[in-house]
Formats: sequence, C-alpha cells, structure tokens
Amino acid sequence: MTHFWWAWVLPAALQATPLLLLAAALDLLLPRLLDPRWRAGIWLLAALKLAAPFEAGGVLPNPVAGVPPAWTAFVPATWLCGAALLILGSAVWFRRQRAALRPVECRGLSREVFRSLAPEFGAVARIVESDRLDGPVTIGQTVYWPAGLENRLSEAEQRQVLRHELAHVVRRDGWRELGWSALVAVFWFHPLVWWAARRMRAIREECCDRTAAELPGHCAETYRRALLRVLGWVHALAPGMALVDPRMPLTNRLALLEQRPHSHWRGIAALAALAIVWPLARWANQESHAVAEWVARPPGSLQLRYMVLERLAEENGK
Amino acid sequence: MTRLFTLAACLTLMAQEQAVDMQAMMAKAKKFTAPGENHKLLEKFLGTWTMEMRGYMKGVAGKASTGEQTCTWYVKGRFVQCRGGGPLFGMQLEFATIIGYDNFKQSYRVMHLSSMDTSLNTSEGDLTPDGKTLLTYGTIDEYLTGEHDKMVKYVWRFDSADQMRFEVHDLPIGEQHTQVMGFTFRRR
Repeated sequence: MTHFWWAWVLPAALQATPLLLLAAALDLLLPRLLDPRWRAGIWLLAALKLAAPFEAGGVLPNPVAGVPPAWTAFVPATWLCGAALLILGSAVWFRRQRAALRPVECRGLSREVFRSLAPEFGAVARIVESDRLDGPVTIGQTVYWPAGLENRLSEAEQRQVLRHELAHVVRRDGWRELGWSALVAVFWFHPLVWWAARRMRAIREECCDRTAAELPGHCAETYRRALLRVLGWVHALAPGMALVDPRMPLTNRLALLEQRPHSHWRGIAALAALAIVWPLARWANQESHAVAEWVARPPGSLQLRYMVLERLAEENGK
Repeated sequence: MTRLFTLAACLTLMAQEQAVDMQAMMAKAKKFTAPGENHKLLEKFLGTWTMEMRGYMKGVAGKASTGEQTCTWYVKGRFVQCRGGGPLFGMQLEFATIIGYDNFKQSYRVMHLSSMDTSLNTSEGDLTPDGKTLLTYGTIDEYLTGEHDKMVKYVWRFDSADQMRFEVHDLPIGEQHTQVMGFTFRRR
C-alpha cells in the first residue's frame, strides 16, 4: 500500500493537477459559452488522467527505490485511513438515506406521465413514490417521486421534471457519480478533486436540463417555473441525482435554459486548449518524478547508490 | 683450560636453543600455511550456479533479475574465485569474489569486485557455530555522500549443497531492514 501511494496515487494527483486547473478555468470562465456536455467531457478527461497517469507506477519504477523511509510511511497510512473512512462513511450515509426513503408504488398522474415519457427516452426505468422526499431524485434506474408533488405541480410541469429525471437514467449519471465519488475517496487530499466532483454534480443537472430542452414539446418557461417551485420546497440533501440541490444556486441553470444550443466549435476550441496544455501535464509528470524521489529517498547509502546507478543506466540507454 | 671448557659448554647450549626455536617456527609455519578444516567450507562454493538477484528496501524485495555464477579454485585448496553477472538496476552487472581462510587471523577473508564501481572492497568474518552461515564484515566508501569506511555486512547462507544465499547489509541504516541486496544461488 505504501508503494501504491508513492508510485501511483501521488504521481497521478500531481500529473492531473494542470488538467484539473484547466478544466476548472474553462468551467469557471466560460460556463455559458460552452455546452455543459462539453464541459462534462473536459472534466472527464481530467478524471481519466487521475485514474490513468502517463506512466502507471512509473514514478518509482524499481521497488528498491520505491519504498520510502520510515517517516514517510506515515503519509500513506494517513491517506489510507482517510480513503477508508470516506468510502465507509459515504456507503453508510447512502444506505441509510436510501433506506429512509421507504418507497412505495407510485400511483396517479405522475405514473401515467412517466409511462408516456419512458418510451421517448428508450429507458428501462421505474418510478416510485416516497413521503420522505422534498424533491424528485433519481437513483440508478429508479426515479423517486415525492408524495403529493403531483398536487403541487401541474401536469405540464411534471412532464418537464420527469423528462429531466429520465435524462439522468439514460445518461447513466448514477455510474458517473459513483466514479467521481471513487476518485474523491482515493484523492481526498486533493482539493481540486473535491471541487471537480461538486462541479460535476452541477454540470450533470445542466446536461439533463439541456437534454430535456432538446426534446420536442419542451417549454422552457414551464420547466423554469417547476425548478423554482421545487427549490422552494427542498431543504434536505438526498442521495442520488436530485432535481434541485439546496447547496447549489439555480442561476446558471436558469440562464442556460434561455440560451440556444451551443455550437460544437466552442467545444472543439476547448479541446484545442487542452492539447496546448498537455505538455504542461507532461512537465508536471517529470516534476512528480523529482518530488516522489525526494520524499522517497532510500534509508541506506547503498540503496541510494543503486538508485542513482539505475537512473544513470536509464540515461545511458536513451 | 677452565675458560676453554666454559666457552665450549656455552656454545653447545646456544646451538641446542637455536635448534629448538627452528622446530617451533617450522611447526608454526606448517600450522599457519597449510589448508585446514576451515578451507573445506570453500568447496561448497565450487561449481556453476544460477543466480537470482533482488534489491531490498525496508525488508521489501524488489523485482528479481537472473544471472549466473561460476566458482573455481583460484589457488587450489586455499582460495576460491567466483565470477558471475547478470542484469541489475538497469545495467549489466559483472562481479568477482575471492574467498579464503586466513589461518593466522583465524577468519575468512573476502575480496569483492564488481562493475558497479572501481573500489576493491574486502571483508572478514567467521562461520556461525552451526556452520550454516558465513558472516563477514567490511567497509565501503560512499562516493555519493563522501563518507568513508561505512560498515557493511556480507552473509552467505548455505541452505543445502545445491542452494545458497548471499546478502549485503548496509549497517548504518539501523537495527532493522539493513539488507540492500540479496542473491539466491542454485546449482546448475
């Protein structure tokens, strides 16, 4: 595990930082110029970089040079404890929250609307009802509908909201959320990863807004009204993809609903920017070599000698 | 006449004493120059061996690489020379070891040479009481840090007639996990 930290986790975090920064810059500076799906794609690239650094296990290629001295063993141990606590805590929270929903079969208008929409999305999904929810939530293939919401939203508003939730099902956002949660658990020490995961939650909602908006019969006005209404009722956090998260402002989503679909050229330009920054990531990769070697200096002079000789042999081999 | 007799007696005594010293010295010479029981250990090294080499860090073994070693008499019955090599740390390692037993010092003496540097390192030590392990101690100069005469321990473990292990320990590391290199030799 110690080696895993020095050879994989730390280098991956260092290597991915420039890409995370660029994705953050594009997301912050051009939130309304770039389609949310393109922004999600850019974040996905950064996530891939985290999961698969340039040189898997390559920072400390030789296990002889890979196991750090005693004092540095504390860092991997702390990382492991943090990751384990985070995974365990998240799993327990999710299980409890989901169990607390106590879903029952959904009857009434919402189910009828849902049934009429599902074929439109080609989604294998079901809808259940819960009286423990403030707003609609999607977990996996299941849409959790708050009991009594159909009395507070018109049929047209329900239709718009359910389209949004079905978009989550079609996009398999549950898996995406799980992936980002796994990255947060592994790279919990990296503030940008936390921020990225939080941004991705918001962007996923924007993506579903956009998907719903592109379908025939979409009414931006009705949808906006439904969002604002639901926001007024939601107070608590819910597991899964919530239509409205009380921690995230709706401003951007409402503004995006006003816009026409973006040109793909902007997305391509963003990718070009990524291509420019790619060498920077390579530079970070090289720096991560130096950093990892510095922190993982061997305890003995002979080990240091072998490490230096190995590097010398590598240099001579090039 | 009396004086003459006394002189002859003294000369006779001196000649006898000299003869006794020579006998003692010849016995010593025989004792310290002839191969003995301790040299029989050297026979264990003779032959051709496959070799598995690993680096170690904090007791954790690194990736293994393989090579070969051949041990022959350097001076028959007295000194063994082992020559071998293989890929290690990204380069082609070549090494030679000369092992002997010094009857006067009453210890095994080893000379270590390798393509990893230009130093001629020596070590000295003894068998453990059970005869299964040869422990020798020596020093190295660390050119990277400028340190001189750092203690190194070399250990040969004779697992069986067909397998032995050789370890290099960097002693200033501390009390534990001092091993930095490990070789396992298996007879071909």
